[in-house]
Amino acid sequence: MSNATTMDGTPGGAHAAVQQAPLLEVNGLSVYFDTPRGAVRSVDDISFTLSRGRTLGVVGESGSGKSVTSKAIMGLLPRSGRRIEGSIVYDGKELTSYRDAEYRSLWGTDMAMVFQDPMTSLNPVMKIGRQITESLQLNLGMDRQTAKDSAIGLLSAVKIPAPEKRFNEYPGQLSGGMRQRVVIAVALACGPKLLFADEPTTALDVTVQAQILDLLAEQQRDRFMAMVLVTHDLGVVAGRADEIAVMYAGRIVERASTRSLFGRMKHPYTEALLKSIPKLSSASHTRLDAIGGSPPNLIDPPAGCAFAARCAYAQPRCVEERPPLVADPADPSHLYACFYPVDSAHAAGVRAEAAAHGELVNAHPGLEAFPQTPPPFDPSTMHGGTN
Amino acid sequence: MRTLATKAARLVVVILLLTMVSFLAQSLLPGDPAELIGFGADPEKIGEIRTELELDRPVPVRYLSWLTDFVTGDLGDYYRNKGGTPIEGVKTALPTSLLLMLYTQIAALAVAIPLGVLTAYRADSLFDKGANIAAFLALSVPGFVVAYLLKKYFALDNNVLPESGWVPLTENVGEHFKHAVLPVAALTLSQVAVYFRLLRSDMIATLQEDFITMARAKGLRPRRILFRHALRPSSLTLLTVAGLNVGTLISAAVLVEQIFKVPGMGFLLVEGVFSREYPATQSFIAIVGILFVLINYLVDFLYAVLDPRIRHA
Repeated sequence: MSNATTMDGTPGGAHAAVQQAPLLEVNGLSVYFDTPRGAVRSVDDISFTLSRGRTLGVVGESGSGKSVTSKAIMGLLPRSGRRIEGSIVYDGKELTSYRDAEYRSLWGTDMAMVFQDPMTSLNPVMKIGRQITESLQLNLGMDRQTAKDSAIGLLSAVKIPAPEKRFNEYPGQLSGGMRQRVVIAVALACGPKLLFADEPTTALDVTVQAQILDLLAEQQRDRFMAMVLVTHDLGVVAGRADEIAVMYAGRIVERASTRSLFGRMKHPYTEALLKSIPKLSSASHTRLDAIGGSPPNLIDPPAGCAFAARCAYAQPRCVEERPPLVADPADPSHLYACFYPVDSAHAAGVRAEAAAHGELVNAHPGLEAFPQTPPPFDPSTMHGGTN
Repeated sequence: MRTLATKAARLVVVILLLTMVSFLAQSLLPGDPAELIGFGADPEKIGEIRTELELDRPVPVRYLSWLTDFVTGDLGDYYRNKGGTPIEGVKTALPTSLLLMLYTQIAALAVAIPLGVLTAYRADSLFDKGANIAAFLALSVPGFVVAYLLKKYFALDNNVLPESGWVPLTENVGEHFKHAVLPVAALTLSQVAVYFRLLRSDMIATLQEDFITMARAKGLRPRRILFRHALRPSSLTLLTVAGLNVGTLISAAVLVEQIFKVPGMGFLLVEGVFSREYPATQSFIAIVGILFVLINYLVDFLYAVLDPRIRHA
């Protein structure tokens, strides 16, 4: 049961060494949405590459642009009211100029997506089996019976008990975890090379979250897919991603291999995210080190570091100047955007002081004078960019 | 099975209430059939007529007497001789009305469904705006005006179609449909407007759903997404209104029936009301009411066919 057949018929691992050119190259990608109050820059100048067989974890809180990034690459954002800049190269093809009709040749067969909420992402009035077979028949030209056999194979590959019976059931007859397995089966049906998993476990019971994540990891390995795993939970990607990109206010603030990210954490936001995960080893009723404040307004983003207002280590420079994404001299593949990284002397000093007072680091942002809400309107500061 | 029985019992109650209220309403109408029949006669004679027609008995008694007749298949008699009995009238009028209703529903849905789907898909486009303006126009022009315009253009000016009358389906199929086109078109226009607007707004909501994005991400073509994925979950309101419209189309097509001289139930009903033919009119109302209730009963089952969530609830 555990070593289920792969749909594209390629045994996992066989081509581990064959393909090393990246499958996906994202360069300087920005996504803007028009709103009545001005353009929102949801994704701001992000870059990364991803090869087959690798998993990129994209981590950030709500509104950080992580879901928009994957939808933009997939070409699933609404056509009107949005603008995309930069480049998305998939398998040698530039996708930013692709129209729906061109994307359609990639959807399902080249790239697929596992959506966040299995309660709403399956058609409630269509049998589960049909939701899998239709793309097999339409994209791969299978006949009805072959498609049905493949679909039942897929359902058992995602470990759904009694797949022949489930084939004829409606989504409403399945539990959330089972539905998410169906969503995964639908996404895997046509053997995609690139899989986006957009918070695949957020809507699920904690008890089934690990099962679904393990299933995704297993399928990713078996099918030698590239996978983008979007989540707000660093714990989710810790054991399952090769590389992690931490996003804040539309930008990648830290990007490194999983080992390096957890080993030599640089960005205060990454540190704060990690601290906000409750630990089993802590005594009960230990106060959680939550991140104070909320993300900045993306219609008129701050000039400096977007995290400065909530950062325990922030200095005046952080407000005035935006820190560029730079490589760690010790490890050039570890990128971060911070003037006073977690392992700097300044940060260590702040932590020591907080500890001396018995306080949590993130409870009190470093710059008290720093307004968390926009300052009163001042015409002299008005600039052309906002309308 | 149990729910089926309870539903059936509820139907009987609904129909009984309907006949009671309509019987009462009719007897409250001003005007006395006896005076209409014995017009100009002396009061004594009119009193005799009244006794003969049992009009001097209390309303509940008359209702019960009508009801016992009705359930045994006796639709009553006309007070005045009209060269026919109510049951004969119904035998020709009912199939006519049913066909008129059926054709109108089919035509309206055949136009409204693609139109609603397309305008929802291209919401706020020029096509969508044009269709909406046309719908408001169609809704604001009364049906009888449309009927007269159609009649003038197609029948009187250009002589493409017969200007009035009705040929039963069993008599001549070609002529039957030729005669049906204009009344059906006149009735369809405003229905299309209502149906298309309903479907459009439900479709727009459905197209925002995650499962539609998922269908796109599967690489399905827009046509398939619209008609296979979005239409069914968007059609419940449309189905409800189409069911309720059945009553309107059977009985309230009076004006259109008059204009095109279609001998339908509306025709019979109006005639009955004007001449205060209580038992006959009462029977017509009951028949239309039973049809209406039965069809909406069927609609309840169709919900379950359309939406498995109702079936498995």
